[in-house]
Amino acid sequence: MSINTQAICDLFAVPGKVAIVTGAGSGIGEATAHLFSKAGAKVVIADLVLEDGQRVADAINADGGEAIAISCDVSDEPQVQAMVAKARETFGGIDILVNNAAYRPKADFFGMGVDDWDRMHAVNTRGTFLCMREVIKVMRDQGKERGGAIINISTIGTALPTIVNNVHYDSSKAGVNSITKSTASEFAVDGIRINAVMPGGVSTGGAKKMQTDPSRNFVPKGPIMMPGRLLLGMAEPIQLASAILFLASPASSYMTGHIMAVDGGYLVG
Amino acid sequence: MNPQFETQIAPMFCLTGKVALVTGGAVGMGKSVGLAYAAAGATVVLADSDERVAALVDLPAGVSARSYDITSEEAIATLVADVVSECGGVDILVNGAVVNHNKPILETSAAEWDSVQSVNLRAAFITTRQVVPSMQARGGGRIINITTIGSVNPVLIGNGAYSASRAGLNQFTRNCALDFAGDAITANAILPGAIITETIPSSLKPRGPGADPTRHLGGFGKPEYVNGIALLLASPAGRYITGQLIAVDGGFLIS
Ligand SMILES: NC(=O)c1ccc[n+]([C@@H]2O[C@H](COP(=O)([O-])OP(=O)(O)OC[C@H]3O[C@@H](n4cnc5c(N)ncnc54)[C@H](O)[C@@H]3O)[C@@H](O)[C@H]2O)c1
Repeated sequence: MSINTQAICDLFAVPGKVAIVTGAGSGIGEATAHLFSKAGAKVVIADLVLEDGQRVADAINADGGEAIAISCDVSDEPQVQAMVAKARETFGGIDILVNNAAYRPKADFFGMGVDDWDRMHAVNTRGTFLCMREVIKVMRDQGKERGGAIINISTIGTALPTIVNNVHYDSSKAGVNSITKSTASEFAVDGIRINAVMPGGVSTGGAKKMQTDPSRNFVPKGPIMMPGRLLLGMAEPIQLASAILFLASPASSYMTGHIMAVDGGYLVG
Repeated sequence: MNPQFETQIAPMFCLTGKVALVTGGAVGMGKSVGLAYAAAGATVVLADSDERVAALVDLPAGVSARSYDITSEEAIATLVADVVSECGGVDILVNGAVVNHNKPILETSAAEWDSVQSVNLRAAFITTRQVVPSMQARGGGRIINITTIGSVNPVLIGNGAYSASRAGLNQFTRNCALDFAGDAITANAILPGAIITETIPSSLKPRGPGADPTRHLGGFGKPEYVNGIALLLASPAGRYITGQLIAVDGGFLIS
């Protein structure tokens, strides 16, 4: 039988929506920005590294989409406020936020200084809070009818250990899960849906750098490195981006407060 | 429509050439999901009881219905064999059939307990066992079980037999994910919240803070609210998601 593209479009398209994706200069965020654009959204790429963000924005614009890149450290309150204000000003509102930017350096449990611990929580946990606070203000302003969708990127490490030397990271992301549920409950009345995605192993620039950058002196060890432990192997960023689009689109209109693993079966393996 | 959507996004969610078997397919969420699969290009067989199949009218092209006795192992085997021979195989199985006695635990007889488990858990096992060889032969498949948020958190009083059967199906789902990952078969469960369907007794009343509709998204849900996740899980876009229990509940579980 013939496909009804309109039926698929009604579920998964986000035409005219304005989406902020943090950390979209690389990896999962980059794939998400591209996918959102193809699904009809205008995309704001907020990344610490402006040239990476700009490269992604340029590619989207060259492809017929609409995107801007903004330099932003998500852990910095004034920078987040300025980024959200600029996004709103440029595209006239905000409908979707993906908190994807993350700090990842591993640290030995005993050797880790409080600055390592604090930086991790500053970017991953505080950064998620700051972006949400500024964006939810705008979404509430726009009214319940328009509502909004927020997707926080966590990790399966919050549910089951994956690698060692990652205690501070898993802790910072467990905070993200918790923020997801608390805010989902608090802002459901405003028509704002808030969910999280827990990736498993994804081959991204960040993940490769983590393993190959000699200056980090990091050899990944732990349960996730066991052969076959990721039942369906490593994911490509598009697999995560698809789930993120699902959570941003009308296809998930009755979902909030859910933390969804997209992990190729790690959590059952 | 954005032309890029048509050429690049639609194919990610498209089910052309796929065959879907949906049990409990004549009513509620099963029917809704079956019709959504057909709209996405699948050939769909809705399986249900005689009476419910007889009441189905105006099925769109690509959708057929079959009646069978879900409590009979032999009838399930015949159903699956017929679908495989007529449609060439099965790629997507939705275990959507369900009964709900909604009785206080102290008044539930052993026979009632057994009949709830038989439809809600045993039949899903038998159907899965019958269907998986066809998926293996076709190089992959998707198993999607529709359970309930009551399987992880009690939300209704007098729902012990039902919730236990659905909790069993959740764990069976996760075991299928593990056992069949090597065959590129994924298995996930959808946990609907307060979604109103024809088969839910109107006597059911949610309890606790979750019962306050201002605490979650838009009050009671409609069967079509699960179409999006059901299509994601069945489509190329969802091939890396397995072993998940996914709540579609308007935030009921967290409120
Ligand atoms: N790749 C994996 O295997 C994996 C597994 C679990 C979770 N995750 C999560 O998925 C998300 C994306 O991961 P990825 O592998 O695509 O990452 P990546 O390292 O490829 O990209 C991350 C991007 O975030 C940006 N960034 C870093 N710190 C920032 C800051 N303070 N402010 C703004 N931007 C900042 C970086 O410049 C980079 O462009 C992260 O939240 C990560 O924790 C990834």
